[in-house]
Amino acid sequence: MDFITTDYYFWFLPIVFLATFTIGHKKRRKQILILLASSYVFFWLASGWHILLLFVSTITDWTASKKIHNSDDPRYRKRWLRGSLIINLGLLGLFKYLDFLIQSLNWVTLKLANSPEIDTFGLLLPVGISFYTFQTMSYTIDVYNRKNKPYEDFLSFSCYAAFFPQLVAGPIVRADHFEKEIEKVLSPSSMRIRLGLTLIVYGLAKKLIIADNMAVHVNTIFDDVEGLTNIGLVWWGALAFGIQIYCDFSAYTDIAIGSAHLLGITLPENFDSPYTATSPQDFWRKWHISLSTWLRDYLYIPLGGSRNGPQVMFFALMTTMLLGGLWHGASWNFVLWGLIHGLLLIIHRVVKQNNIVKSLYDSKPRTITMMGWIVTQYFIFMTWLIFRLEDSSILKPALKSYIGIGSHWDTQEMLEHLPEIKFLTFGIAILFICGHLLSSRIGGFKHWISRQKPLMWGVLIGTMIGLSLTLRPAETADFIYFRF
Amino acid sequence: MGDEVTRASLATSIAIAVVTLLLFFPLIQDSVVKPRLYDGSVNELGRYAFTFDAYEYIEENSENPVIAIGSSKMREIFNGITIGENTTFDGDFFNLAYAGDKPYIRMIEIDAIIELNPKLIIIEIGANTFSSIPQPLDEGSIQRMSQLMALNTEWGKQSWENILFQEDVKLLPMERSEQVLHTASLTPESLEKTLSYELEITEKPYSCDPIIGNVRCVPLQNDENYNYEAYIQYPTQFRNSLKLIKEGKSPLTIEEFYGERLDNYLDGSYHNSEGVENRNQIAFEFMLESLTNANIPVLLVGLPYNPVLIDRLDDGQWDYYNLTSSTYADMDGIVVHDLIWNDYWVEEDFNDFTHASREGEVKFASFISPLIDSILVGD
Repeated sequence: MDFITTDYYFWFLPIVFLATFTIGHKKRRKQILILLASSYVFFWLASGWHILLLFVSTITDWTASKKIHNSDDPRYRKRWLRGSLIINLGLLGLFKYLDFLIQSLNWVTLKLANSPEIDTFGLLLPVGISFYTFQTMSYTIDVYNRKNKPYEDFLSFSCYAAFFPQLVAGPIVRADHFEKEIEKVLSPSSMRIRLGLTLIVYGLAKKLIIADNMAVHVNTIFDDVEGLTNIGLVWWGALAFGIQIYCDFSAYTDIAIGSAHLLGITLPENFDSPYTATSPQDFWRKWHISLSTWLRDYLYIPLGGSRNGPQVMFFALMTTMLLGGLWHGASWNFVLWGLIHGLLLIIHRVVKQNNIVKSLYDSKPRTITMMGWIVTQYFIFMTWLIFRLEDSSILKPALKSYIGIGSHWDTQEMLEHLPEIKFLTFGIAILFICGHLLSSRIGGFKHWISRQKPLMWGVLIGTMIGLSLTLRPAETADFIYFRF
Repeated sequence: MGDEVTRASLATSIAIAVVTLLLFFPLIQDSVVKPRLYDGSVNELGRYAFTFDAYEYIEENSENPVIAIGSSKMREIFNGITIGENTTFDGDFFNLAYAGDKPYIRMIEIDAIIELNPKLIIIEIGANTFSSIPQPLDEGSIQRMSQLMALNTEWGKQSWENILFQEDVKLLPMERSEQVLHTASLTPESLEKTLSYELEITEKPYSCDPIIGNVRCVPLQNDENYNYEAYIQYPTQFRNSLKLIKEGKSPLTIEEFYGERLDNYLDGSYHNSEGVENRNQIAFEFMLESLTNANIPVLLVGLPYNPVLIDRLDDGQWDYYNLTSSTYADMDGIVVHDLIWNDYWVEEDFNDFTHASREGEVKFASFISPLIDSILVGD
């Protein structure tokens, strides 16, 4: 089960909603129990026996955090922290990275010597493992750092670790935030319900109308190398994928936050119009915010952060981005993606310190900001090619074309290469770009919609559902971040 | 904002959203999908999209309608205007035939026809009436049936449901929600085509010119270039291929035309009865029963063929048709009139093997008009 199945909207979510506020009416523990049980049902339907891994992760961090909290012995505390990290990262490594390591090892040994090839295990990636592992790890680390106290009861902590709206693809929620959300009896106000419904419909519309239509073009363009010397086609492919991945991922987040609102819980935002970013640093403040802040707090700062000189900062930045890239998937293209983002962040820091740039900015702030936006987005969309194309035989010609090496422009050839539905998709992309730029100025369309009077709200929501059902392509693509 | 959203306003908001959604689909269907179905952009044959609208139009605009249905043979031979001029019956004659008509597909319209309650329904009968239907149902039939089911104005009845074979039910949108979503699924392609026509990037696949238009394009009721009523009485016709061949204005020679081409035609499954009581026959008899139960008189007409084709038939090739069609004459409320085997027809009455020329139309009107009068007015 996921957020684009009718089962979710026609039975799962309504049943959980009704159960939480009828059986669990004004009884906090019952409500938490219902949410926990439904989260495990959701996860079981989405990922089968992998539910055991979630349970192991929950038990591990519950036990470790209690032991750490109850002890003043630094060595004992550290031992439990290590234990927790080893189990969490061990499970993540086993299921997500082992085969990748073996394949990489095979490749290296095959290049260097004729050593026998090691068989891979072919383990299926458990849904959401990267998300809930980071979530529970951060909890134990915070307890270790005495930043937070552990949860008082196992039920609440289990619910935090498994809460179904954000279990599979985030946002990555901090333990203290969730604890505050569930400390009182859950009671959704009419405002919350309307906001929740708005976010769900808005998310569905983004996914079905924009992301899935873009996916049809992206899949056609990057299916093989044919046409990849056409710069227009590659630029369009990169732009289309950039739009697809944003609308796909932010749609999931909207639906997650909307579903949580219906249950009386507020989850943090994950995006803030990222394609309006005017620098790489700005981009990471607006893109996948819950991951970037997690990486900042649990990796970048512990590695030295920005207060220990430029060399330490560059090292911390690069390491963080490399691991951040690898977090997305066990593949070298994600490492390269992280590397390029690391480089972009470092270059930006260097350029920002340059006196000429500073004085230029002071004299013409709007022009420099606009230039910053163009350069940033050019590179962001270039990195989306690296993110999307795992096959180097397709990535190399696509990248060369993107930067104008050995490429040509031919509009007719480009149109011929695209799927049958093209002008509609172009129209959707243009509307998205205009909407994205406008949305950031009004504090987000979804919030603007939720503030409308009943007549306007009803018309907008009804129309969005109608458009989602009529404009979606024949094939609905899986959420991209389900793979992570 | 929290104070502003009361339970009552939340309920109102949701109710308005539901109403908007319910209004949204018909609006999209009429403004985006139907124009592209009518002009054949999406479905190749616009006439599979227009019949339900035509039934509604006729119900609103004609007191004594007579409806003709059947395949392209009927579409080419039934000139409602000429027939109206030849009959004494004070009625309007409408031609709602479409190419490739099969009873198993056409039966979806039966509830709308009964609702319209025409004075007489004229149905083509021929070897093709009992032709085979692929099992499992072919893509083309699924598409046509799904489209008709989605456009069906009498969707609450679906009296034909039990006639559908179970294996076909799985392939078709039986529930109203599925039917609505079927039309919705045609929206992207319809919108794409509309955009490319409006931006003049591509041209419509079939000319919709009222004079020299393609038979695949059907005018919308509000199309100012067309007289819609005249169209549904006498739709756009094929050009006279036979005449062009004889005048040497076609790449085909007359030898080629009457050679392998005719042999292939006569071997085609659509032009021959399957010889068993198949889905088409069951559907056809269901339609006859439904119409007679509703006290709507039925005239079954065996439409004529080019005599060259008739001469080339194998002995007994259409015996199943002869045998079966004759049994319908015994049913109350049904008149059978077979024009296939009589000798009145000459080559010039046809545009090709089967479709009537202007001369054929006039001849047909002269045969059929007295028969209509005898049924509706009395001798």
